[in-house]
Amino acid sequence: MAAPLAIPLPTHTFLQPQKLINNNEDLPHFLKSKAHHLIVTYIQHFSDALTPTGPDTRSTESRYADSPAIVVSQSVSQIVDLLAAIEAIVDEVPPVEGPRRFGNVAFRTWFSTVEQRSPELLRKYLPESIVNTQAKDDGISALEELKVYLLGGFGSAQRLDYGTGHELSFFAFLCGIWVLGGFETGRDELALIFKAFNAYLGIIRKLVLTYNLEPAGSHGVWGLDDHSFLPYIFGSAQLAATPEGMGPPAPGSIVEANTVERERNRNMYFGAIGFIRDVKKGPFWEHSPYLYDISGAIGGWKKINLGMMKMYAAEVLGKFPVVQHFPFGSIFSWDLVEGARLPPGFPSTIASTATTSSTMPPPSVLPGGGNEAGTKAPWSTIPSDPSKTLSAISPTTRMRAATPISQSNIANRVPVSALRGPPTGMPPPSRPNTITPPQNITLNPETTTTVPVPGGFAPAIGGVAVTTAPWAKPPTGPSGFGKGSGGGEAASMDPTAPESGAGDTPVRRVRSGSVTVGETGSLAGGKVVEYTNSHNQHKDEEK
Amino acid sequence: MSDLDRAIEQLRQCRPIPELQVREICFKAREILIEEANVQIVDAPVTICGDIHGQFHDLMELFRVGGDCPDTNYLFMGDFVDRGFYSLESFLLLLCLKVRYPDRITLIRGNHESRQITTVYGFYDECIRKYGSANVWRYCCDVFDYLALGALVIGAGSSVQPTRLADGEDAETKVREAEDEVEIEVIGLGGVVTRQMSRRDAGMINSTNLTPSALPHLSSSGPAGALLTGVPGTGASGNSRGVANSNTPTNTGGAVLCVHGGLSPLIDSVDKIRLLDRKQEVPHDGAMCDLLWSDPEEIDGWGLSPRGAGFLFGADIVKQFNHLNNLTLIARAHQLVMEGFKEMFDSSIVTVWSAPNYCYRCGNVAAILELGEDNSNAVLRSGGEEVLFNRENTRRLASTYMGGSMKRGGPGRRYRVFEAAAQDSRGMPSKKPMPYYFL
Repeated sequence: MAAPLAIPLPTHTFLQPQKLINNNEDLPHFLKSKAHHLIVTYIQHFSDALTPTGPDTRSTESRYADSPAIVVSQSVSQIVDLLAAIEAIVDEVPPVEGPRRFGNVAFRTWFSTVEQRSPELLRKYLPESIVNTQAKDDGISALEELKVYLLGGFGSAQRLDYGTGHELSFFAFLCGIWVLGGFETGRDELALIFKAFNAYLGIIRKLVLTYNLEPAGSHGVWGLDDHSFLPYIFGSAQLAATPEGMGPPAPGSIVEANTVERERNRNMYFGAIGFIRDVKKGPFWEHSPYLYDISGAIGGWKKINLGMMKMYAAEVLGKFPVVQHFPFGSIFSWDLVEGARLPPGFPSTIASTATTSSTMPPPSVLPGGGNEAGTKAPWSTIPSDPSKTLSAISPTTRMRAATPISQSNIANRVPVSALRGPPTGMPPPSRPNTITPPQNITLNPETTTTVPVPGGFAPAIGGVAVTTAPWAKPPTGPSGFGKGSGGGEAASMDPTAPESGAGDTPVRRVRSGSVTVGETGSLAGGKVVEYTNSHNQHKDEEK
Repeated sequence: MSDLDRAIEQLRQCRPIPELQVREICFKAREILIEEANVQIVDAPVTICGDIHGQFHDLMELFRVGGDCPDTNYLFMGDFVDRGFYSLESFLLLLCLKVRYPDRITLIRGNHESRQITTVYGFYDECIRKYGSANVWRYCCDVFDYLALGALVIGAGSSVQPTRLADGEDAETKVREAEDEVEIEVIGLGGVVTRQMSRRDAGMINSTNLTPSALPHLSSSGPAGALLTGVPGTGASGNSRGVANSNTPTNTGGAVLCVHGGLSPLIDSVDKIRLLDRKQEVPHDGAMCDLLWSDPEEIDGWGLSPRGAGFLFGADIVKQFNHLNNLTLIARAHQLVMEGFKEMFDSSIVTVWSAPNYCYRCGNVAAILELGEDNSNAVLRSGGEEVLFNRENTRRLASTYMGGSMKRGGPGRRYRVFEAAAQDSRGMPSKKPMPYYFL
């Protein structure tokens, strides 16, 4: 059986993957791109393959991860070996002892070791047909293109965090091998997910525990999972043919410790829940209310599986902060799929649905600049068709509409705008590309280039420990997955997108109108100007 | 019992109060907060707390460890909401206490007390889940706009006063205090004094009461009793340069500025904070934003913040700011610290973190910082022989400690460290309406 969307190896030109999602406006393009189509096709393909063929217990048991019926082919077992080799490197690089604020900087050593050895490892473990494909024209070799996705799958060395953006990258690595003919359709699906992908999850959990990696862009208890998403899709698929009340565990049993322990090694959903239980203290419903609520879904595992797919499309693939680091090359192509429409999970679609139903909590789960739809205040004016209208209006206009100018706003802004940007009387649409420091203030060049500073008191961004501004851009330049700084879902924007934050970050939700700001404002504009001047003078004197 | 007392009682049991009552309390709170300055003046003694992040049961633990409100004066440095499951209950309880005891509790604004941040990091979702509408979130956000941006603690004593133990028994430190000025004391888990540092022997650890096992985080950080290390987690291992108080032979600990994040390149004096119009959503940049978002870092001068808002600032910035403003210490929150608190830059700034086992998994302990009253002043007011004694005492201390080496500045600081509240079985709630994707 031919693989879905297969790529003919001998004639194909491989390209160096590049970051192409630079701002929110690029998101619709991505959602209609061949790359997006490929990812969605394969997630669906694996989910279908993992779903039992019948509602009987035997059929369900054939889809357990530890089922003896699963055939592990040579090519899958090679991937398992590759992952074992990568995992072994964790033991070579013990965590650094001594005081630290949170994440362990030894992770950077681990990451660079993997990066260093990856060409050799890929040559050793990937199918020969792929290994032997040489670069042609001005392209690169197949291995070089795939390597970027593999390395993007292990978190951010710079930020010491890991999230669903990294998970997506590793999934893309497996998909890439598949479309290049490395696996056989109809034979390798179960083994690839249960053996290889599960081994990958094992590495991730080990990394998280060993080096204290932060969840990228965590919402605390108000998210699905700190780190992972795909195990919930695949795990729910494993049980999706079982009618409620029959044999295998019901969704509600995720709160039962003994059921989780029994199931975690054979079902990926329970595996993910088991890890949450390992790392979190406290009542399950309290630290994971989203998963708890889902476990009451009417329609059982099938409904949960469908819901997870929709949610993945919207909250992972549809979120700029998550997918912004995903690079595009020849396998995951930026080209548009002919006649493609925005997928149903695209946030703007949800926005209209969510705002019309008043009793329902908005589907905001993962972080995002783009998720204003999910968390928008219901009373704020929302255009009838956000996808059209919002992109048509300039960000500044949108800001004006959302944030009424008030005297006090202006008063407070004056010193800032005088020093940092145009005197607009309200927050600028986004943070400037390169921070223009106030005059007379010297930014430390060392920190501006090497944030976080290795060696202890390194601020980790976007994780549990540290809140990143939703409108923020990463402090360093863009770098590919392979550099270890990408793939996270830290709610940060790309520096090359001057207007990116603009109206598409949650800025539009800002609503200062109802507070009668300025009512009690004690400052006249003139006084502030004076303050600005004296401030400058003062600084001059110091110099 | 008034409605307010009933609301406090209900919130203490972690049960939300009705929407209409929230509205009323938020309205009253605004009336009180509107009168407060951007930098609220707070008299010592006061207990300073860092981020709470909706960890209600841990907030109750904090009150158990630090004393109940209004028996103890509190100053919370913001980030009451987001990420935790009980942001609503936590914030409303603190707000009710503020309305009930306005002079006993001070609340200042954190970067999470913002419409934009709460819609991304959970508080908005929580309000929707608990009330079915965003009204309560709106009322709370309206209060956020009125919270002070900082506080100035004055009248703090330079030495730690006798330990008040949970069971009311004074520790033997009282005896020692008569001879020696205790600058830093750390009360570890279980209310045991784990570390003490005297001002005279900067860098010496008084090991009389050491029970390192009670506080593994601290004990593992350095060899106990080593001459050059101060209390682990503090920077008290050298002379505190740039501290205005260091050459004044009094018994006061000087003024302490409390702010959620840190300093701003646009603010070189506390007075300039007073000039801001704070009653608005937290802006994306500018002085008000920086105060709530910046972090201290081991750099020179100013640096770009990886958070995308605020700045990083180094020791020179802090020391200069403290010197110009006659401050002895800046207390701030905003960053998770495994040990609960961390003094930096020769004890010129401290980070206080009050959310133990953050997000149910970080494994950190929490801390609160107690600043005691300035004893000499207190006695001075009441008059009598003790005044003479204290003045004499002060002089004696001054002559002893000022002679050889420079006296370290800064107030006497007692850190109480605590762990997450015990997790009892809190019942199983009914499942809430299904998230959109699963309908």
